[in-house]
Amino acid sequence: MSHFTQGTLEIRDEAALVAALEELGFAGKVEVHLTPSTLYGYRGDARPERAHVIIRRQHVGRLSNDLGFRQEVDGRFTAIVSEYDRETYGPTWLTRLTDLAGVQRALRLAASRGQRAERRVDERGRHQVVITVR
Amino acid sequence: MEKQLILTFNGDGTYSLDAVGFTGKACRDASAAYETALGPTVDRKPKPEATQGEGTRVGAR
Repeated sequence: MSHFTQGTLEIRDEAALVAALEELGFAGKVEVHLTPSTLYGYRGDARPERAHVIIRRQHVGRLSNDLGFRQEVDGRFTAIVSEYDRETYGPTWLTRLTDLAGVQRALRLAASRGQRAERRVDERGRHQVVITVR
Repeated sequence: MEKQLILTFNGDGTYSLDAVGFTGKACRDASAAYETALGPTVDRKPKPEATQGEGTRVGAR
């Protein structure tokens, strides 16, 4: 049946997450680990948190801590952002990241299915992916 | 008419998927993989052409 769907975005695709981080200025600065790796604070101190996808503090800001994304048992990535860094990498930035990861996920899925996908921005500034289905 | 899935990322952590040019079950089949990949569906509404049979031309009399 033809329909109009609304849903809540989740980041589950590591490649899409990395591509989205690259779009947000971290190209070549994203570490990916098969097993979670230790995050470090701005003084080089090991923090208790561990993550699969990491941007080291030197790429984040002068007094920043590592940014991390831990993949949970259910496949979703959870962001680990220190209180200090939430001013820049807080909910607004994370929502933008989630949007871009969704765009990347859709583009990758379309490519894997042999479907043509066009990326664009609508009149309200929202990202769109238009998939042509044969 | 070309069949398209238009995914819109709303900038608030949600997405919308609008299927254009589909009739019958083909729409659900085409969109299911994207709905699964992006995140849980919170609302799904049928469109008017959903009640038309396969091959029916929208607007034709």
